Amino acid sequence: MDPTMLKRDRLLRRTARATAGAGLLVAFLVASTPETVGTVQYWGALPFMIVAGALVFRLESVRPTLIILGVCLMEFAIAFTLAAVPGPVPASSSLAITALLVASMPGLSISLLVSRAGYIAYWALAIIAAAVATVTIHSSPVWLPPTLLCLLGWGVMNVAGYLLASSIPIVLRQVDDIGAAHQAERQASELESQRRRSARLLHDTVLATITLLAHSGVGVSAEALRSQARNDAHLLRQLRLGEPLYSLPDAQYAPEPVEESTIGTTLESVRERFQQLALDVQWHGTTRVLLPQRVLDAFLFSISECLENVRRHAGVSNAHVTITEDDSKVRAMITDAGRGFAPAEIGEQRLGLKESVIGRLAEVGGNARVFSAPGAGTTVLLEVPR
Amino acid sequence: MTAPLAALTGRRPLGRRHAGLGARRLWWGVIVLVAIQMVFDVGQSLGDVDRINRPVLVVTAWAVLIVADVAVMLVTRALGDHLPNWMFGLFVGALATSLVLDLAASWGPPTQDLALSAGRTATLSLLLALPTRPALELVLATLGFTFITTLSMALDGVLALETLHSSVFTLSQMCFTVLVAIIAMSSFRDLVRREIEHARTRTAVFAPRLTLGIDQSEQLARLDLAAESLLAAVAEGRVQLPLNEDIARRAGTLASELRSHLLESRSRTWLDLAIEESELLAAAVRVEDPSTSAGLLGPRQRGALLSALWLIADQQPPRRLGTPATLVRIHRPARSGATSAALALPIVIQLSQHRRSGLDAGIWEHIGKVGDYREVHEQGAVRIEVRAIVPSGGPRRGVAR
Repeated sequence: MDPTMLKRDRLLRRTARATAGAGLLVAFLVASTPETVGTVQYWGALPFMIVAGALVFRLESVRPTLIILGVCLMEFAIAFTLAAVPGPVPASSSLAITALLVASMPGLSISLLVSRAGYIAYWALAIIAAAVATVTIHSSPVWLPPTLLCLLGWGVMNVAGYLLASSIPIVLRQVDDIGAAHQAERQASELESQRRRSARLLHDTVLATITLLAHSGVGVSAEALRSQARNDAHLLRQLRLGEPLYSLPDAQYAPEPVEESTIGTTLESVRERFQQLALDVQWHGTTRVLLPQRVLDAFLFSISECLENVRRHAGVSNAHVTITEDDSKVRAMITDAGRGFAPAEIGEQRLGLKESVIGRLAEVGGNARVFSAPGAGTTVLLEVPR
Repeated sequence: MTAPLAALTGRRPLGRRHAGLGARRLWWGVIVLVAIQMVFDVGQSLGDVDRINRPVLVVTAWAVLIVADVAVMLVTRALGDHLPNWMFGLFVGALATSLVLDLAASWGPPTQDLALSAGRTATLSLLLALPTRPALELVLATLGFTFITTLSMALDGVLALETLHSSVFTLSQMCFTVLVAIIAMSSFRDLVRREIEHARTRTAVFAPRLTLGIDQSEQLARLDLAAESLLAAVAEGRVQLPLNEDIARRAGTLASELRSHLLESRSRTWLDLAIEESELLAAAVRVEDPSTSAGLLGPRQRGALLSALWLIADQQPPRRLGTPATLVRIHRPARSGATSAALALPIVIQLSQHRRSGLDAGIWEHIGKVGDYREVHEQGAVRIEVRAIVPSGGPRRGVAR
């Protein structure tokens, strides 16, 4: 069966069960008031009510047509049993029967309203119910005679059932459109996130600056921090507006739009940055290294993070960076003569280094090792593939 | 995402969009229902008008009710299927006033047992807010109205034994008509929500092997924006250096979120996304896929696996709390044969809340499309072990529809 139709039928059945159950419950409550409760008619109708209730409860799991037929038979039986009194039917029984024939039964039958045959069956039941109502209801709760009230109830339920059933295919078509729109949104977002992620170097410098700010910018000249923040804000703005990333107000840290870069000029920028932040960095070894852009980004970021750690934790104002290379690898050794630490007892403070440097290098196939002891300074060895 | 950051970046959860889809048609049905009830009850009032103790109160009740109903219909239309809190409060207040006026009109002997008229329509009128307000609010309002009426009946002596049946009928009719309509509407909404989530998750099937997801991508953009405004504030001297503690703390949160975001977000597959982006699926299914092998499945296998998971989720009793009852564990792929260029990917689906007989046949049909499978029964739980064959020639690229 078409899944749309299945969903429609399930919804109709759920609504039908609620309506039929509520109607039956009202009938039971009304019949259980002093006028009727305890009479022969009451005890006679009770088993039918129980069976009808059990059937209504099973509506969603068993063949609905049989259930509807069963419940209708039970409810007619209740009506006739309650009305089987000499003389006029008491008001309480009339009200109980009304709840069954005008609400419970048409409510249940809306699950038939899915085919032409179903509509015919629905209105056949409606006419029978109206006839039964004429015979068994002697005092209508409203100013309409029972027959008309009954037909009106079935009519209203028909409209309700039609609206529910016919809404489903329309809504599912709209959902399809939403799915298509979502697909487009997802593709656009995939592109956008790739663009943002490919701006790794930018994020690295932004991270470094924000981390400085997180430490209230203590130990750094306000002017240096401001200029750093200005550059980064400008870059982020360009990224947001989708502009190319290599124009800067006072260019310092822009990723070049090339696949391979020499390390020299960019190393210089790292050095300058830390000079501004009052850390004197001595550079040794190779000054020109060719590396793929993303490896270079990771490498420079890691060096910067290590220097930032020296600046913040080592308690010295200078550090040494030595860069060496062989056929397969480029290495950087960052050394300070500061207070050092016991690597086995790395605290919360240093976790950031572990996550950011090791994680970042691992992404490009590199690694990092830390050598330190309390009072003996720290050396970090970074390695990236060529 | 941590709560403070959610506040920082102003992000709202996805998934409540389109909640009112299809509700407009049903709203017309509600209006017709209220109109019919109104015709009945106006007839009732007209019939009783010479006998009622204070007819002027009934007329006032009707005036208040009609103004409230018309106003709420106009406002709902004008605001595009939206009803603000204060207006809803006003609406419920007006309906309650109408009910109380109606009760007061026939208060005291000899007419205290006259049937409700405007009050009954007023209660049913609560349904006019059905497309715009959560079901729970309407249920509470309905119960409140029923309680007011019961109280009034009790104080007025209408709950006497000889007229009890009529009172019970009136009260049940008031309360149940509205409740049943709310149940129908809620089922309809649940269905629409399920369908929307299903349609959204289906699009994840076409993602590349590893991806970021709309939520994550949006979040990265928001983090960038938050960083940009912080940096701009520093650059332009709008905040004093050194920063005060509060702003420094915000910068710290931002830095760690941005860092973890850049490091972790690569390891996500279409399946993680699909489950995360759907509240219903996330409540029912949990995925363990440390090697991100789900990304190796082709679009057809992915679609079939997702359909099977949806069917499983549909059959689970809804649970808002606790861990999901179904666990999907995806292991590392292994060579499927000495010469074959294909890999065998073991997928285990552990169902702790199902019995074999209770499972929809469609589930097996879909799982069959993912790969060969066998079922293992242990301690009342079912485990489905699937062996999916995937090409070993690297990850498959996403395919656009």
